[in-house]
Amino acid sequence: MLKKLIQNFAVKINFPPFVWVYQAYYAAVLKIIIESLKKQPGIMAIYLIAGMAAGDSVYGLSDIDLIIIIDDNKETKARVAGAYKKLSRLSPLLKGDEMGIYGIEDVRRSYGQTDLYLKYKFFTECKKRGKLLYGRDILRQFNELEGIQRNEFILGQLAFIWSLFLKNFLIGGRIQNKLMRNYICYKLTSDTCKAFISARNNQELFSRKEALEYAGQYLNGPLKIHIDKIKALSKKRFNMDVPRLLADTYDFYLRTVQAAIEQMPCIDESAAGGKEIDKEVSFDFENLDFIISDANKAKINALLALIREKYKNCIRSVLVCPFDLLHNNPLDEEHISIFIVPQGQLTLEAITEFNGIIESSLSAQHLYLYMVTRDMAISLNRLDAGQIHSALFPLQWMDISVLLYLSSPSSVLLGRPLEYDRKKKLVKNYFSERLLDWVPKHEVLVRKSISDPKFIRWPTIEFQVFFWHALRLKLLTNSGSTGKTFIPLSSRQVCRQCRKSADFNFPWLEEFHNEYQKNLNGLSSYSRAYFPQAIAALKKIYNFEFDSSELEADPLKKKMIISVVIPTFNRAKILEEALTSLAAQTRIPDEVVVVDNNSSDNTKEVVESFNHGLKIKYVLEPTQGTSTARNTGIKNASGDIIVFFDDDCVADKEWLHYLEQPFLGDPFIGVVGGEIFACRVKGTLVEDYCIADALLRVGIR
Amino acid sequence: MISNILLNKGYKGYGKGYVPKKNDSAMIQPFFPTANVAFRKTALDEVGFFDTVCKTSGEDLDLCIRLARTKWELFFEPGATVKHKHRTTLFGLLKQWYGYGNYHPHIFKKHTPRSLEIIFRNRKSERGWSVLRISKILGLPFPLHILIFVTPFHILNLFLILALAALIIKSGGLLILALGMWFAGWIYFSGRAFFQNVILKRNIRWIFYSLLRYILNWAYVLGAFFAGLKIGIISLEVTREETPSA
Repeated sequence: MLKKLIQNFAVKINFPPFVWVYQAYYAAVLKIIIESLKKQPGIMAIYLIAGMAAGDSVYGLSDIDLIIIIDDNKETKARVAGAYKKLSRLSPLLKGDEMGIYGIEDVRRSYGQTDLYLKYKFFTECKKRGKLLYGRDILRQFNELEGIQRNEFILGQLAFIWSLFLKNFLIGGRIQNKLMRNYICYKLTSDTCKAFISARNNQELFSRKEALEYAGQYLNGPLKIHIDKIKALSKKRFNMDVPRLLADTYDFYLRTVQAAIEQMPCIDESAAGGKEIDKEVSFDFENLDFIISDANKAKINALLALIREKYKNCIRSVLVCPFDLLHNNPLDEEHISIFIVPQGQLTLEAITEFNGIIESSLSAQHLYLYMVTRDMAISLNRLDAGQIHSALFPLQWMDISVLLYLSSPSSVLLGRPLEYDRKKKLVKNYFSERLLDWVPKHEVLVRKSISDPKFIRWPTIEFQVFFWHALRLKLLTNSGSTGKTFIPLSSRQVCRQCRKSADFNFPWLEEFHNEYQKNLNGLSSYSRAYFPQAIAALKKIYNFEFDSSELEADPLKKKMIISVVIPTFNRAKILEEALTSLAAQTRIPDEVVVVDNNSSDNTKEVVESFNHGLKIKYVLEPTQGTSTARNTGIKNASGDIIVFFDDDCVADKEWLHYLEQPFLGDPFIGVVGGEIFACRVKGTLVEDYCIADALLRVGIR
Repeated sequence: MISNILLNKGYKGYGKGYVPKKNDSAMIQPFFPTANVAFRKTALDEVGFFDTVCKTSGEDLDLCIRLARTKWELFFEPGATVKHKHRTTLFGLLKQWYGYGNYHPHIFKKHTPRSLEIIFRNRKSERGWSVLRISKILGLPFPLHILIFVTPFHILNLFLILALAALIIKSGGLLILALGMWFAGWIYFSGRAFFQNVILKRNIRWIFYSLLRYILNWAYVLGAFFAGLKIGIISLEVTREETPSA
């Protein structure tokens, strides 16, 4: 918020002598960063790639993007990240959440393969026009980009540009912040030019100014005028009267994509994902996990009939994607977006018309239908199931948003989030930082962020959505290519179909589905226990690599050694009751450690004279404090599970049995907690209050 | 610590299964009291043992926060029950609650960056609570650790303080206004429970329970407040807001 304010202000007074102030500010921030990072051992190089300090034209709006290359020590990364985060508080220009800290091995790997597009993009850009601030020029030793890698890079760049386009569209539609809008417009057009030139001429440009210069030579018509205006803008910075983006940019985009595709023999239609079909698509509206109203069902059927009639049963392929892009929370609920690719060349008008009909007539909550062209489908290829194991295409949600924009320049589709502005204030979130937050979320599904605990929250709904979608796609591709194609809409349908098929008939599938549903409803669920099986199944079906270092845990055991630790202080009498209740357990503890926290009564005698078949260990801890006493207990306990119990409690007969069970089922459970009830001893009013108020109850928190 | 147990009372309780691992604020992380909990030894070795700064309470919350930030899962098993003998005297209970408040600010300081954190009821959110962290919103560092729970307890006391101020400056109109607001707030927050328990069920004890809870709230809030001041934190915490339905 403050950052936006500063940026707005900065743009408004973007002329000398104020510019000098910014320059000094940038310089000072950079100086401080370098000086304080120099002290950290393990840093090999620091590059600066963007922001005004690197020579960009708009003062005050640019962030400082640093790439820090470190040695391959895990500790170094955490340490440098910590230092960087501290620094990022110093200035809003440094983004704390998007840290460009990479190990040297990481860089090498990213250069070898293109799966980590964003990092890759950074390195290439960094190599070309990055400014070395500190250390040795490491990137120089890497080779130039070639062939497929290069084009993948260009396509990848477009994804980001078009997400900006989308943002611009939204902002241009409602938000009156003209300066921001203009800035994005400028960035967008010049970046598109950059990608266009790279694709056409095998010429890599990394400067926006140059890109605009070159683009003028190849383009004509309204787009040239547009670019000329923007060029003029970059000369006269403080008067940013940028024209709106044109509808022609659509053509421009497609041409750029085509140019990139022409040089990419590896991308064909199958890479666009989904299912190639000849005749009919059908849905089944029974056994859904969500509700679709009857009116909507009729409308969907009517639309399918319209496709059949208009395009003469010539559907080329169908893409299915599990995200809902327009409502900002793609993975907390079940959604399905279906993209239909008809045969032959489609005009933009036809697409707009069809998508317009859908948007105005269909008000479905969980099901979205779109029509797209082949080229759009190719730019969508990242949602293909095949890419789960393909190194070439990481999953990026942005591509779809691009697609949505392209298929409806008349804003019919995008009108929707804007409507939500009034009702739910979704627009604000829509183009805030969350837009970028989504990217790692989906990366989790694929592989990389698995090693970053920040994004992993087992049991993740994301993983489960991914799992069911992966099964759905496999079912689709396995069914024959002629005749009716049945698309399972919800996970329940997927589950049932899998149970019927011979290849994916996993016995635990239904239980996993039930737990998944609980998870979706925000309840605690047991789904985590099925994750190893689910991952094994995915590995088997897709033959894909899954970094399971996060999944390393204790081996499953049939029986655990249980140590019960009881700290006590001057409560010899009730301690005996507690011990008696332990001796009466159906699952007798293997060891009981009583930690005497320096009691002055006869605790020692009580413990030593207690013999009901329990193996009791008496430990004296002279330092006062329950934590200290419990830590001493842990050190003296020898079990796999350490159960904490209080001296003022009485355990139920099956207590330990219940506490042990979850540990036997899932190796990832670190803590098991039970319920605490109150018991009535003296019957005072205060005690009654504790019972009535359910003090310490766990399950009703 | 105790606010955790109490704040979410009567809300979306959880049944058998994995407990959600919230990471927006450490203060609303679900945890298990040490009276009835089992830890895996490997997990303890990984994240470390109990924090010895927490002498009488709070160590369980601290350990659960640390575990929830790693790969380890928290599991709730309602079948494993123990019966706990509570304090029998008012003084004992007050002392216990003051103690609960005592170590909470330490945990807040340990697990949260410097910020003004406001936690309030939001019935739409998953856990029933929402967290506002000012430094995150502003994108700027905040010089202090401040934790504020916004609950009926605070709001009603605000009106009482206003009434007290009115008494001091001898403004009758303000006094009536403040007391009126207090009464309206009280009716809004617990009038229904009062009607159901006292009028319908003729349970006079309910009044005593409410009073006791009010005193306990004060013990807890003051405990947390003074302990917070000692380590340079302003913490206005609170305990449960719903009245018991005996």
